Amino acid sequence: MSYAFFPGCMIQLRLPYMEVAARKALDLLGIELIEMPQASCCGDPISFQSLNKESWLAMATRNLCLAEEMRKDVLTLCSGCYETLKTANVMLKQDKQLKEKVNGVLSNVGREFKGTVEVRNFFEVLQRIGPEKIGLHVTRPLKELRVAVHYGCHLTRPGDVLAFDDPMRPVIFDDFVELIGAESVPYLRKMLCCGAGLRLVEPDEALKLVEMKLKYVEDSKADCMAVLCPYCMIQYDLGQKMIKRQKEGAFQIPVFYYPELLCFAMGVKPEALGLRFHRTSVEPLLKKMI
Amino acid sequence: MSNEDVPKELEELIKEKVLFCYQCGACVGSCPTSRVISEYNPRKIMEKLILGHWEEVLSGKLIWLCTLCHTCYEVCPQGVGISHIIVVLRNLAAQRRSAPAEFLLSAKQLASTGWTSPITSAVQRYRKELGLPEVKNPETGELIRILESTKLKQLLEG
Amino acid sequence: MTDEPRIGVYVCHCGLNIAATVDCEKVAKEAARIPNVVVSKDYRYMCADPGQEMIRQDIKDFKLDRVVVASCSPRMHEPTFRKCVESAGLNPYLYEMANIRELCSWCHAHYKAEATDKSIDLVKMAVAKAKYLSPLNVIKVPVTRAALVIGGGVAGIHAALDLADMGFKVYLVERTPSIGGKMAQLDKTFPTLDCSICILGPKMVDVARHPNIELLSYAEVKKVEGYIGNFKVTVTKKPRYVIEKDCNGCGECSNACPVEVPNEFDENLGFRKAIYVPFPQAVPMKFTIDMDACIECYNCIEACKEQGRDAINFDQKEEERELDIGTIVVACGYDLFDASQVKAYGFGIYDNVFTALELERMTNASGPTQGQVIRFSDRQTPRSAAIITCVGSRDEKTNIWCSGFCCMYTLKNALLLREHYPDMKIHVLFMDLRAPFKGYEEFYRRAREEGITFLRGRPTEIYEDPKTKNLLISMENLSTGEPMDLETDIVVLSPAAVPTAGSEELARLLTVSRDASGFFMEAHPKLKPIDSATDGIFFCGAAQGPKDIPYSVSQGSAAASRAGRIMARGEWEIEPIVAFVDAEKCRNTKVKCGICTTKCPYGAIATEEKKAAIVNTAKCHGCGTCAADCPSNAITQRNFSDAQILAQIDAALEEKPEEKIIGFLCNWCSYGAADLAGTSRFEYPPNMRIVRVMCSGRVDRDFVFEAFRKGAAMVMVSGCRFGDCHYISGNYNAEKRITPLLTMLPRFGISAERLRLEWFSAAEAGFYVNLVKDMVETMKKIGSEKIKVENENARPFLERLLAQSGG
Repeated sequence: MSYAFFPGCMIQLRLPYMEVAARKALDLLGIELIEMPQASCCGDPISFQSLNKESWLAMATRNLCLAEEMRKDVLTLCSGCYETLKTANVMLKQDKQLKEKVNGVLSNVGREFKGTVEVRNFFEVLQRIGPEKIGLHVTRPLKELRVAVHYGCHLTRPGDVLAFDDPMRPVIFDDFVELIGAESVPYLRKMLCCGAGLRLVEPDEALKLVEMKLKYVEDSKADCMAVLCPYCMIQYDLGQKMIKRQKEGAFQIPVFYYPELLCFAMGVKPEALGLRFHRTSVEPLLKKMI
Repeated sequence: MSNEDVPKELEELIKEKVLFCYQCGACVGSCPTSRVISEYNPRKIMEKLILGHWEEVLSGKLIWLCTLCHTCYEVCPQGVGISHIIVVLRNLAAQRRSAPAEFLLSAKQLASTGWTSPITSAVQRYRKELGLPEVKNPETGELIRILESTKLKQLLEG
Repeated sequence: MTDEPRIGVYVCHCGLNIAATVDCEKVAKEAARIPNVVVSKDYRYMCADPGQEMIRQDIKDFKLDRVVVASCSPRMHEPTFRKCVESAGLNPYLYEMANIRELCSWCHAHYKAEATDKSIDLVKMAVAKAKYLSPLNVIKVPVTRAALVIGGGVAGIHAALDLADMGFKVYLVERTPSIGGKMAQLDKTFPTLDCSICILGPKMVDVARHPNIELLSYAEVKKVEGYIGNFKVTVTKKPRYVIEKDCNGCGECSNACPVEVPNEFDENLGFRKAIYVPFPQAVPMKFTIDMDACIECYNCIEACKEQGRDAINFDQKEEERELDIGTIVVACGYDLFDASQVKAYGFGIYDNVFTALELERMTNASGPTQGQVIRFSDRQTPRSAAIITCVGSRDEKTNIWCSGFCCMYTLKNALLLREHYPDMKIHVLFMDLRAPFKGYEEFYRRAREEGITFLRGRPTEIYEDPKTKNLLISMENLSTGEPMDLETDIVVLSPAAVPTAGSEELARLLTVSRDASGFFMEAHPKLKPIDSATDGIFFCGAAQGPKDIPYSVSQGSAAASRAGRIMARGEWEIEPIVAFVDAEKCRNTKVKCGICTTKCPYGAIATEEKKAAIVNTAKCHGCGTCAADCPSNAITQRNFSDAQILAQIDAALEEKPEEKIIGFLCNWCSYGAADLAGTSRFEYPPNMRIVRVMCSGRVDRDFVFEAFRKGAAMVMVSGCRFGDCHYISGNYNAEKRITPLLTMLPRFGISAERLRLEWFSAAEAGFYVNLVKDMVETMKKIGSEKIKVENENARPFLERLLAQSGG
């Protein structure tokens, strides 16, 4: 199996260690990732969509056209890219008028959306590999690791477009955490947004949302958090460093990108991943895991 | 009430979606922004639209505080789809030059390089260390022509 | 047809309902100019006494032998005017109606001039049909004095008791092992807080004891044939593996049974044995073996023998009974919405989230927890409870309707909790509180008196605290306008009432309609809330829509009254709109045909070798399918004859045909939807000219050809959705017959989009309106010039086809 590889700007340019983990994990599982040299930012679901939805869709569709030329489904590593590209893909396939409108814009650059490929997130790729095959690669199940799973918002919502998992009470991420031997720990307000969308205009208030979630995670006695999105990663990984709590002292909750956990479970040595780039240190936890 | 005519797109949206809001508050219960900013209340924004106070909504800063988490979209029993309406309101507000500077800045960065972040030498170094290929700027000519066609380029420059 | 009929035309104003839009005086004046119309008047209220008297007087004075009234829908007042005309000595079938209200004035409020023109056309059509009307006599059929009541809940029980007291034989069929329905499961009832089974129990026993009631429990209706007064119903009695006449309900078998399974009656909170009665007051008090649970150890047989009886028989088979029935009452109740569908509320996942009915089984002293409300996580008594209303109601994602009685049972449950636990913190979380009827608002006050707190706001989601298993409810407090979290020991969800499982199949068996929500659809929402559109079949209780106990009881008695009304007379009159064969034209006398016999869903037309087809008028339901499918045009339908229908088409298209759409709408579904669009005042363009047929199966290809031959812009053929046809298969036959025209007509030069074949139900007024709007848009896009040219080119082909079929 091979996919048109779409890591997105946040991961490529700010959190490249996430890209490393994804590439390594997929390589071990026999997935070929084909570069998209002309790809740009997916279209940015925050600033572009808010200013001009048509531009957002057009940019996203341009990226889809590149994948269509390659005749490959697109693999996204970022939930923001997933929402953006899949929304464009689904809406243009469903709505003839919208498709004509966007193709009209794209005709200015000699491109045309045909609707011939699908957009996949990391878990959808794993689903297609199949839990049995993945299980064979899990040589070091992460027993005794208690993970607080954070789905984020754009992996499952809007549910009618993404149709990946239940939009309010999803289970797939938890299932994949259990597949690698770890325990997905329940905690209050599990579906609370990381607040990244609020960060542009009210960064302090956005941080309050981070603090809210981290408190619940701390209460649940989880060892770490798992995310699938670079926005969420920045919020929780970097964000917890920025929270200065008066009484209880700093949070110390390592945040992992799921592919990193998958890599560990498949026997990848920690040195091969860019763990030092995590802003909240993962060192203390590594001993428990390996 | 407003002095000028309500923009056609907004009028249609209000007729097709907003008028069905029966003010139950389901959209507020788990709204992340309303938990940290007490003035923010998506139900009240819908009420303002129903009552015709759309100009106040478009010129205000409240609509820019939504995180676009889409929880309201999922739970609304009348299918109003608040977060999607917020996007339309933002688009209209942007046309009226009411967009916050932070959004415009972020969009300008994207429009000029094709990425939301600049490609720094530091990141190219980290990528090399990690064994990843280099990142290049995409073909921005296509991007610029697209943004001209959608008039976003003009908006960002104006 | 009389050579020179004398026709009276009456145009009703219906107050301003018609007159505000249609110029009634003008319509009457125009009608006067039609040949054979000897009197033409307009008047304010034709259906009122003076209006009817005017018709009667004119019949005498002007020697009228045909009457046309242009007013409301024939589905409304056709019987009224038929009676009026009959009382003046004229055969009631020499009367025709033009619907200028529901189909015209009510939906073209802003097209006054066009509505008037349309009304004139509709009157012309009615007059044209009237010319071809013949006197007909109603068919009198005997009525079996036995009623079938389907469903043994509180509504069915009252219907059965009233009918039995009237002296009729009643078969009460209940698909579970005992009657009682949902009411038997309740603890107390609002607003009196009566013990539910205490007030229902005696009625259940009355049913068992009544000499006129035969209770067929653990049985289902399998097949229904026939018509009003003369139904043949096949009931399947499922095997209990217990011989009812030998079982005395002692229960020793159950004591000996080693198998325990969840008890549905207790909402799966408690257990029952594989051999069981659902609850202690069950009627009949006979045991039943659940074969899915039984391990066939035969302990029960031993135990029964020890008691000196031998009531268990593992070889028992399903039994079929054929019943002769005069009237049918549908009382099959409702189901509760499956609250686990609202994932965000955690029912089925979190230990301490319950449904209202689960709560009632717990508070019930003879329930699985002996009257204690218990948290499932730690078996502790909850110190706080939150009750959430509208779960699965008023919600586009689940059910759009309001279930009507949940606010009241929410109040009751809150008071039940308060009664058991004086110190519990009880919150009701609601959007709107609906307490409309006698004593209901007072009940709400009583709840507040007892310290139950009411918070206005629809909860967004619920989380479970992983340690305490308490529930955390996120919502907005609408009174303060602030988001809040409410922590509570238990949550009780008030689920919606939804149509009961099996409704779809039952509706098909009975050929009755269900409305958009899936509940059984009454003939008229205001004036005929009990009657189905099918004569002789009635609805009562929650089957017709969610309702509380007093309303269900009232409807049960009402259904008994409606059914009794028919059975009391011993005979009933059936409309004589049956098929009629012209023996001389029938092909079967020369070659082997029999197409009509194969098409008839009722076996009402027989073709013996070398003989002309013969119609059994008692069995014929009047769909007209045989008439449309007869290859030699030998069959017609009384009151819906070929001549009458063709005359309507011609009259409609006399002027400016290229702007008109001829619609063939079936009486039960599509015409009903068109009426509903008018009743609902939905507006749409005035280009439709509707020819009413009883069933889409009646629509002959010749009708379509004639419409285009006369220059129509578009033709619509419509009927019920597949599976819902009032005559079972009429719409299938219509589809088979008309679909080929979609490829045939373009070969003659008529664009395919000018013929539309659509299927929709009587509840779908919106669908109908959008369809008309769509067709008018298409018509305008094609343009009248192109339409005229296409019709011209097609004419020779159409005329040849019409001549061939002898039409």
